[in-house]
Amino acid sequence: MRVLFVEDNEMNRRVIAEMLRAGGVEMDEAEDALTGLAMIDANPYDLILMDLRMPGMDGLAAIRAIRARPDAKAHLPVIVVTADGGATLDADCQAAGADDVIRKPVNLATLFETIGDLIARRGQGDLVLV
Amino acid sequence: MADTRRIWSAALAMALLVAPLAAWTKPVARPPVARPPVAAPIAGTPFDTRLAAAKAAMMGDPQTALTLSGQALDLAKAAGGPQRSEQIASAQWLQGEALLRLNRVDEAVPVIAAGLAVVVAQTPDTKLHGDLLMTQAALEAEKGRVQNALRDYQSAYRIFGKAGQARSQAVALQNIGSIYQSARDYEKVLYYYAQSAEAYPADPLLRLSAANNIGNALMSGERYDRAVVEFEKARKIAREMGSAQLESRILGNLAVAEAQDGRLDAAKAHIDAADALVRALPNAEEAQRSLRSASAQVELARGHPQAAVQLLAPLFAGQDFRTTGPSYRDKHATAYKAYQQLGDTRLALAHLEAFKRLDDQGRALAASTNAALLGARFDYANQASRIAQLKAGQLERDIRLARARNLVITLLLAGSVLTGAVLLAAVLSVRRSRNLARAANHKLRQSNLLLEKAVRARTEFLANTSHEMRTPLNGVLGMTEVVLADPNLDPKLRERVTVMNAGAETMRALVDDILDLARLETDGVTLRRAALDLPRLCRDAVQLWADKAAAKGLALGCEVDAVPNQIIEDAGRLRQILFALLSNAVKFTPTGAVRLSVGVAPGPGTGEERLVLTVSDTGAGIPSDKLAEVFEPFRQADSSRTRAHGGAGLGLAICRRLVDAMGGQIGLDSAVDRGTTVTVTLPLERAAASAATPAARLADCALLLCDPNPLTLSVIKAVLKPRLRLLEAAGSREAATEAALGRRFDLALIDAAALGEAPETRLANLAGLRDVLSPAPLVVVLPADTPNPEGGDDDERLKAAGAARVIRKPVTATALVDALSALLDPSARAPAPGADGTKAIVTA
Repeated sequence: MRVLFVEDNEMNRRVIAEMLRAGGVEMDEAEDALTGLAMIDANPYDLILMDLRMPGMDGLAAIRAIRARPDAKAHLPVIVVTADGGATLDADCQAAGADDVIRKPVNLATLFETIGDLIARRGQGDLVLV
Repeated sequence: MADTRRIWSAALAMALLVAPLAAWTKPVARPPVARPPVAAPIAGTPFDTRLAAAKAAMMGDPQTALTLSGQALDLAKAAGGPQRSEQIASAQWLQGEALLRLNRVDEAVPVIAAGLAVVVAQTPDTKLHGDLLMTQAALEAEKGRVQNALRDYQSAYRIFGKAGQARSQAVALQNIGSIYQSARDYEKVLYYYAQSAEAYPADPLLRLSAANNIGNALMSGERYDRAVVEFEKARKIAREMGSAQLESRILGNLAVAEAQDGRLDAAKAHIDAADALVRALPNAEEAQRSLRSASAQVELARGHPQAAVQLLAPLFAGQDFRTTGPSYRDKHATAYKAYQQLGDTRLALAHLEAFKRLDDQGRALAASTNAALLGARFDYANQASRIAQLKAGQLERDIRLARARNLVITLLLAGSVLTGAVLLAAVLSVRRSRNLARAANHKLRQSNLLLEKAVRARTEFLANTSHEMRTPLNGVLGMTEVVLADPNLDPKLRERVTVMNAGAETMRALVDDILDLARLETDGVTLRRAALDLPRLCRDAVQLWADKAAAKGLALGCEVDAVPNQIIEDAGRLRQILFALLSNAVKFTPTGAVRLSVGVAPGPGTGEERLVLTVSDTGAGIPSDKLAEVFEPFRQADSSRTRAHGGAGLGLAICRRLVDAMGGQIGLDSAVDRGTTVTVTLPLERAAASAATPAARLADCALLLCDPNPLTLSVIKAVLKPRLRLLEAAGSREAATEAALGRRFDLALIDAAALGEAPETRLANLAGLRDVLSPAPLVVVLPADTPNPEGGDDDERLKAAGAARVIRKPVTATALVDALSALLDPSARAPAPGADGTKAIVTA
């Protein structure tokens, strides 16, 4: 499984990379949204983790850009990872097309549970455990 | 933030024009940073001529200085010779300085950066290097980047020290002081200005600037008597310098300080003296204008509001009160008080509003400057100065002080706006008999406006703080979890990291609670009501506290027999309420029992029903006089207990708001040393019983899942959980064993990776698990790439060691569910598990 984490904070990228490694998941990283979109273009990812507050393009705009793609990558699973806590956060993320939201500080169990939920939800009965 | 920047730029522009002096209404003065020697020798070369002329023009006519420095730059670039780069940098410094004075900050930034690049490469640690840094600092301050400004001033200070430029060092200290002035950190202001005066006592203008600014800081701190002393000192210097202009400005400041201190006659005398000085000046009209504010304040203090209003009138002529600049803050304050005394409510209100706007801006600036200063690294490397000798102890105290002050300022932010509302009410009551209705409307509108502002400010503050806290917390919490996830971690180290992890978790919970409460108060509660399994929700909530209760030796009970299985309610919020109540009960009960019981009672209307949830404990209890307080945020009945039990005391406050939103009531019954009972009553809406699940037997099943890979663990958990009565996930064999000792399972699903590497170890570990889990059947999941390794995991040996069934990956979710169902109900068809799906989604 290959994941891309778009996040400007280096510490956060390291934390999530280490967490994912514990689950045998490879993580690529992009430090801003435009780089992230270019990497999605170039690589086959199974999941995108997306920070919201970033310099330049913000995470919600990046998610909308993914969802607007003409190809199959428009349906890539996207999970927002954010330290924001606004009342409209969930609704905003959902409106932009995010599949789920994880709030920082990220907990190892929550991270994998959210990913697991998403995989189960998307895979349903056809899900294959390899 | 445009307003903030305007405050900076206005302060700077003004300070630069009037040299180091500022009326007290404008405390942020830029000291004479780059004051070039006015009588610079005019040397022969065209470059030197232009440069000297540009320096001479800088103070009074920056536009001309800009033209001249541009010409000098062209000449320097065209010329050759060993001094070429230094000449270019000198011209760039003056060009940047001129642009700064003309408020063309964005143009100045690259010019100064270019000059700095040249100097750093060619002639570092010279006066020119320091001068360029000083201008860069001013530009940073102008842009609101206080932290960078402070850093540059400190670097400049150090470089001036190396270059032996004591006067420039003193100027740098004054500039640092001015940053603290905008942070309203008056102690620091006093400190830096005093240092600067000591660092270079030879320059009367610097001493004067220091005394005047110290006086301003003392005024801001309302220590008027001491301010008077400083202004008198400054006046003496101005007299010695023979500057009527400077003396008149200082007399104005002095008079205001005296008026505030109640020395009305002296104040009046000094205003008159200033007036006499001003009349003789060539620019009398302009100078008189700047004295008007001080005169008005003195007249107001002397009980002559009409005179004050007349003095201020020309200053406000043609001004839109909604857009006046920061220098008008105190003029508006004076006008407001004067019109209030004269009974002109309409004008008083208009000035009060303008004052409030400017005051809020000032506060916001102070708060943000303070926040930036907190983040700044304090660097006092210079050996030559006394500052360096103050050592880390003083610094730490300063930082602690600043931090505490910053918090207070932020808290005051909300408070001050409310105070504003009270003030407003007072103004309006002055002429109550007249225009009562109009006044009442005004009041209502204004109070609403102010209250809204206060609430918004607080929410923003909480949201930002929460954001800022979560990011570093992410590092701590995340990395401790990563460390703990390593199965080979040394046990001693694991214990220590576990403590760290628990601390970080507690902190996270606290941040969440604070934010949650703020959101509840500002945005209200949005309920997501849906059908939920009530007994299961309650049992799960109690189960969460089983470990803690067991560790304390408490009996933990749950009575949910007499309730409907399915109700309509917000499951998340209901869980949150039960969690908080049980948390309190377990926390405050040293011995005895904690019990959750749920029942149904008749509601107030016919046919209505209420759900009654009761959490009772045998704990310390709450004294009757404290009963009402416990629902207030940040309260615990005995504050000394906060230390013993942790937590911010937000649980009950949050519960009450949630219960309110759900249309219910929360009540508390307690006796000291006997225990506490919290009763939550909610309107009950029954839901139709849920449709029968496909795997009927599985739905009654408690399953233990053990997989060391967190990803596969959570995927399987997500797949199976909705089909089971209970699923407990364990990330290691040890955790699985512990879980098995704690409760009875009907079924266990064990990934072979949890059993160890070597085949013998695997078999032994499997047998060990079988023993603790017995009689639950064990299902072992084998990795895909080990069909039958050398002497290893063949199905028979695994079955002999306790596996009821062996499943090989890849396996589809459907096949896994079927296999588990078949195991529970042998009559069901036992399908051959295998990968017949095509979407390989999970790879581990």
